[in-house]
Amino acid sequence: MTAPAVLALEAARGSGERVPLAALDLTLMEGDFALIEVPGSRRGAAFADVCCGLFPLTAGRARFLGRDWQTTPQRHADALRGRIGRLFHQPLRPDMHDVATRVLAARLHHTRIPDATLRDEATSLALRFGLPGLPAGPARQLTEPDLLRAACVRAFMGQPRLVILELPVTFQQDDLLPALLEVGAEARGQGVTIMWLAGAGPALRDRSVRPTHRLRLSDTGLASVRLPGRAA
Amino acid sequence: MSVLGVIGAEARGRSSYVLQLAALFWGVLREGAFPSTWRRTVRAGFRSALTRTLGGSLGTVAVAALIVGLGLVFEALYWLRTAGQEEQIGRILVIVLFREITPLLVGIILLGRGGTATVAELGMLTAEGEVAILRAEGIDIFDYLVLPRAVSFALAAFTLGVVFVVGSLISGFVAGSLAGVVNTSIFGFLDNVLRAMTARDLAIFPAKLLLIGLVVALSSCITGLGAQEADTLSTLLPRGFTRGVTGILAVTLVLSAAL
Repeated sequence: MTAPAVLALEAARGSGERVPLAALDLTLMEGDFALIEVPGSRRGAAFADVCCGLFPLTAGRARFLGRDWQTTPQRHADALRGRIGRLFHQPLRPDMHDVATRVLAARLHHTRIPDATLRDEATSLALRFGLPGLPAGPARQLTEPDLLRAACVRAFMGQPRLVILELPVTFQQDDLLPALLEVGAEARGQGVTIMWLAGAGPALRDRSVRPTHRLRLSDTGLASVRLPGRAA
Repeated sequence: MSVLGVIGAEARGRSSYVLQLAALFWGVLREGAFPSTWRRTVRAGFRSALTRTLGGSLGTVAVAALIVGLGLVFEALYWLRTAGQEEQIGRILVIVLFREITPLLVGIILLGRGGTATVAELGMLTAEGEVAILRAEGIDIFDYLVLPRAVSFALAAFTLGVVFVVGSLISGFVAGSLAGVVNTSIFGFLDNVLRAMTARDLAIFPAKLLLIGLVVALSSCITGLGAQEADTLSTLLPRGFTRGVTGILAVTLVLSAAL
């Protein structure tokens, strides 16, 4: 018996001005890496909400790990969302009292893994993303790039089944991209599916980024993007 | 939309606040009873909310108790002694202080210190998209933000009510002793007050305080979480305060009439 797709959009059609009216079709299996060009962060976030079952569909289906978001009871849907790591297009709020608590919040809520174990995992990830450790204390003491790194830690915590990165490829922290690709590649090796929602830019066509799906989200839905041939 | 739908939408729109309040009230009673609801994040939120609510209001309650002790308890002691009706002091204090003034004042202090802070905090979380992020992480907003505040406000209201009553009685007694209008010990005075309490008084005192704490928390949460993009603190806080005061008065009125 084959495992269900991690994420399956089947002619999923959402309503509202931020979501394309065209039906969306997408199937991502374990270990897939989809790089999707989105027309703006808000529409990217809305598309991510469709994938997470947070956006009501007017037609079609959106399934995660074989479960239809529309028919899954609220409590189960929340537990399933706990298996999705997400780097949101909004940064961590600067007025947050304790960054560490916020980074760990979803893991603390959904699991019974001891705090110390979670902190160890977060610290290890933080080091890989270029932080000196898991940031403690209020968010206002951190720079914006460090808040982004802390948000990356949050997205990859707890071996999620799907990681959604709402991150422009043109972001400024050059040293974050290699770290993100490295952590992402390692996670994919463990069966994690990655969906990167990126704005249009030259880096989207960067051959060092090797997704299994290269797509573009537009008013007509999701379409494959072909890279131009290599120059001789 | 059908005719019934149009009528229903209008009616729902007008009564949505009351319906939300009733729904959350039921939710607190139902979900709060399940141990599985109290995950460690919810427990941490409860501890934090209880500490902030009690810590923030304790000083104000102590000052208010001192003022009420001087203005009400001492006055009652003085005038009843002058009129030769000292044996009535216990019953009068039970009716006025325990049943009416304490729940009302504690509720208003709780609203001012904790309720408005909750409106502002949740309003900002909603407006800045943090609530949507929590939902996307699969964290139930009711469990994570509403339930801990509701339970902590209810417990804080009861605790503050006890502190308020004790503070008022002691400060009034001390003032009376200094003025020479009391000819009994503090234990005799407290015994006199406790003996004047009936079973109804014993029921109405915690019932009012727990319910007022709950209503203050829930009305503040509804106002904060219902914030729209156009809302600012200057629009949210007055709305939260008005709803809170209305709730406190409604609880006081209904329970006074019922018991």
